[in-house]
Amino acid sequence: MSDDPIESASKGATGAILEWSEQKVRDLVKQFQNRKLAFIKNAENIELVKRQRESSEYSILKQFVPKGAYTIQVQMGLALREIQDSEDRVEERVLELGDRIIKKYGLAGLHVAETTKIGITAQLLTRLADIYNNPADVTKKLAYFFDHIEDVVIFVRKKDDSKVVARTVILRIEQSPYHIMVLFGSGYAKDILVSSLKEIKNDPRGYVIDARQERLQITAFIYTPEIRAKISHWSDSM
Amino acid sequence: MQLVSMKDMPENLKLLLLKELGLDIDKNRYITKDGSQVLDKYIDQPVKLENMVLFPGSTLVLDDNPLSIASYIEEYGEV
Repeated sequence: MSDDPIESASKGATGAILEWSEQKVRDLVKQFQNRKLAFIKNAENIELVKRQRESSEYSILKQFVPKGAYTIQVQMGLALREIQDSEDRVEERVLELGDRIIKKYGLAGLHVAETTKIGITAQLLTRLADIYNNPADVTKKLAYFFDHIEDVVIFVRKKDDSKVVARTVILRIEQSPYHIMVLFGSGYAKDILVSSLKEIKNDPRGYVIDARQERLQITAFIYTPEIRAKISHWSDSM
Repeated sequence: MQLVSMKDMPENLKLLLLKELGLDIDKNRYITKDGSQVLDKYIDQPVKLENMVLFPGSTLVLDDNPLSIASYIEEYGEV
């Protein structure tokens, strides 16, 4: 382990730093004032953010996610996923970050992050790229999705009535300019979600259902039949 | 830019660091400048001594959390 704090920190080391002194602090301040270094608490959060920014998923998403707040919200979604999958103070860190996202961007901002965390944003991007050939169109549709996330994505709860969920989807999908809705359910809510999809499937309008089950959760994309011709591959397995 | 971890920096030296940068702390250990609490510009919250991050330029004091750090990187570039 190096006793040079700059070297240690820049390598992401977490071990003890030796020989802190007043003179060392003053020397570091000079470098700070020359914009050569920054003081961080530890490497944990910077490395977490960097890992998300360098991930394959973000590299693809950032090409289409509108710049600004959504860029940060998407990164926070990926960060939440990594925290969720870690074993270090998971609940506390998820709650802390979620709280900060809400304070900064409101509940809708948290929903953009959560939607990214559970993979819906990436799945939606794949489908939008399938439907719309022009990248600018994909970005425009993705922006609409984020702008209206409270309406376009329904997080199904186990206490929900499947018929009400189905009616809500049908009502909203007909009002949406892009004719796409997303249902997400996990745990006990999966049964409600599946029942809702059956209701939607039985509607004579002929909605297209593209559902995917992963472990304890189901994500379903529902399209109006007009979109069907533009989708080159879709599943209807529910 | 090199990153210096303050994880093991003794508290008296953290206070010296703040003093050298024209900063201080109040009785609740929040960072102050000219007697007023310094707010993390990205989350609009005061920053505690234990959780501070200092970026150069105009001495940006941030809270150590993913949202503030990602926002800084987005605005100023990779660190």
